[in-house]
Amino acid sequence: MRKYRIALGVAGGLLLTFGVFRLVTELDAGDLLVLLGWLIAAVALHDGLIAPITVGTGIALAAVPPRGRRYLQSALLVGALITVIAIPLIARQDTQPESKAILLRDYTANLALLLGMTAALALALYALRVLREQEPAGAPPVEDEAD
Amino acid sequence: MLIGSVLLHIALKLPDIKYGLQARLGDADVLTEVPWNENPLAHSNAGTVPPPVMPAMDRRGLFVAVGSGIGVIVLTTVGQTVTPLARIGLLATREASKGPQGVPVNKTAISAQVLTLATAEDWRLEVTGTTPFTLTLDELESMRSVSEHFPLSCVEGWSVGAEWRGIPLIDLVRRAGGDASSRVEVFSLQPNGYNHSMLVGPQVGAALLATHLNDERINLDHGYPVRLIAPNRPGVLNTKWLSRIEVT
Repeated sequence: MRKYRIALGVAGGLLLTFGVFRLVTELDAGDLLVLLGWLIAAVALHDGLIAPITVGTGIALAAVPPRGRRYLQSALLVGALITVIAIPLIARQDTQPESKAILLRDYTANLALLLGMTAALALALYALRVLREQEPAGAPPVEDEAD
Repeated sequence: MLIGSVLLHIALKLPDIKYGLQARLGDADVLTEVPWNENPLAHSNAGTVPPPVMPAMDRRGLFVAVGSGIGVIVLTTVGQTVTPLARIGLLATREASKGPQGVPVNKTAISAQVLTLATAEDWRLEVTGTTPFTLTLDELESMRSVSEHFPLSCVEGWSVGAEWRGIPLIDLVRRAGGDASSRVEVFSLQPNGYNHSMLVGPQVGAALLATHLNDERINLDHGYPVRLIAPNRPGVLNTKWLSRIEVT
């Protein structure tokens, strides 16, 4: 394994050096600064915003009773994915020349609609589960694997 | 840089990868960090641990939830390409039908700096070849015109079909002394950017010099007074605001 590690490490190190060399020799200082800003912003956004929110949500979720937790978790996951896609659209909405026919929709309202539908669906599925668990004794036990 | 970083990362993590692939899931959870020196094989080793207790979402639930989220995003964005789904495109960027004359525009006449040139009274289409000639817009439009349904496919990732009416390019090529095997280069009024393009082979016979789009006089943003349109060409090579055609 040692020789594979060395071979991979040397190849990786050389490629990395080549990449950095191309980067600093072919981009002008202004572009490099912008690139640096983006890289720092990515780390700052991840560690400063996304990670704390995720960890905080996880801690808060632990307090939710297990029966309803998976529905809340699912709704939060779907909602987060939709929101991540919608944020840049909201930020740039109505900024383009009209003839491009681009970014003309009301993405804030559309995001609210989609999040509302997600919440409603999760609630409905949870309600269904609660109802099924309350079926009269004697009824065959409900298999919940499909959730 | 990315490939180099990944290779370097794999080199450093190879013992972990090997251990992870060898370990049986019932015996060890490689994601649980336990001091590496408790196992000669790996940096991360959990020894024998019971399977994790998951009172709420399990792995299957995670797949379903993430899959549903991605599904919603696909359904609400794919309408920008798949026209029948445009109405549910809540998160779609482009609405082709809202473009002028039913077709979106990438480069407007203003951003291409052709507004005065394209509307000038003395606009002429110059055709060079063995028998060169010049046409006014009226003269051009008095020639035989045909209608074709061609798609406009932009390299920026959208496409839309439309009804184009105009003069077959081959008619002008023949009048200039060329034929279907000629090499044709068209030039735009646009001072810079993608302001010229080349046609060879079957495209010379298929191309139109469009004066009308979806039954209306082609508007300034779409290339008034006349633009090139041909199938199987990226949108950017369907040169707009034509001023000169060279036949060789």
